[in-house]
Amino acid sequence: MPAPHPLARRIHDRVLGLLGTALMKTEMCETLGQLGRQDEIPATLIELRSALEQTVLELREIMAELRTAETVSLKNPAA
Amino acid sequence: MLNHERETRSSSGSNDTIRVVLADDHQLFRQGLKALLELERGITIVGEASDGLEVQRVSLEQNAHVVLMDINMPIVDGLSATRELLRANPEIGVIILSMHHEEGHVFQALRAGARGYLLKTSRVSEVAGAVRAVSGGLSLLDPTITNSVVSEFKRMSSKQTPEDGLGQLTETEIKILQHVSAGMSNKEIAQKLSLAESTVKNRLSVLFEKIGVLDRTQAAIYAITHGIAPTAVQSR
Repeated sequence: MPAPHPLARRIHDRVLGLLGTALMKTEMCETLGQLGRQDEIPATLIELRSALEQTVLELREIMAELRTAETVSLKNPAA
Repeated sequence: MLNHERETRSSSGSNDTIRVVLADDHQLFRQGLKALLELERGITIVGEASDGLEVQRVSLEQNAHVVLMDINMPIVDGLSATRELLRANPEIGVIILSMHHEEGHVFQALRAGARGYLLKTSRVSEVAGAVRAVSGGLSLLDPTITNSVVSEFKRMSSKQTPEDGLGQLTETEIKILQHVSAGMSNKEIAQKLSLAESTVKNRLSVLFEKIGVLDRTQAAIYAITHGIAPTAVQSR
């Protein structure tokens, strides 16, 4: 298989990884509620929020890199 | 019904605990998966690993029955780790748990010897179901990727001439193929059919040639796609 584009790799390794973790945390909250362990839910929600905040940061960085690449490409059309 | 109230272990009906190792370099994901899987009756997490080398050592040391393996891991990736681990102990059931849904990754995983492939978007109840299925000798693929696998093997099957393949198999060879698709080793098949292990090995070589596959994973998928496996790919 051809090597993935660096950005595709980053989206997979970081963004999708973080979203996988976030999904896991939502299921954890659901299960804790079903088990009557409501007192443990706030800590899990904090972890969920942390995973989502990191996802936002990753996506912002990726967008910034894409903008830079676009600017370079406009300045040097032959590049 | 909560996950932990679901039925226990394998198709054999045994109540033994399934010893599971988690391999993923995302610590938060591992922690969450561990906490949820430990609520499942009959499943215990006996080890964790954050790279492809560590998972081999931990799985062998902890005598794991099933390993939940990510693909993208440092040092050694999950596919190479699967290959090496199964070389050391072919009885371990490896389930790939990945965000990769591309069929190329699925085929590579199956070629490496994985007996299950799930996406990380699966609910934990589905992961637990896969752990039980693989521990019971079955194979399982995420329904969202099953289509591409079935299409690929239909394409492979269509390359064969009518006189090839299934029609050429003897009754014993069909039984061997069914046992292979149930995840049994040559030794177990030999015991089941009252044959010598070497006979099973020889018959398998002939069988592979007749149906045009290279290894037992491809043979198992052939059995599933041709409707002769005892339990086919899971459907929901």
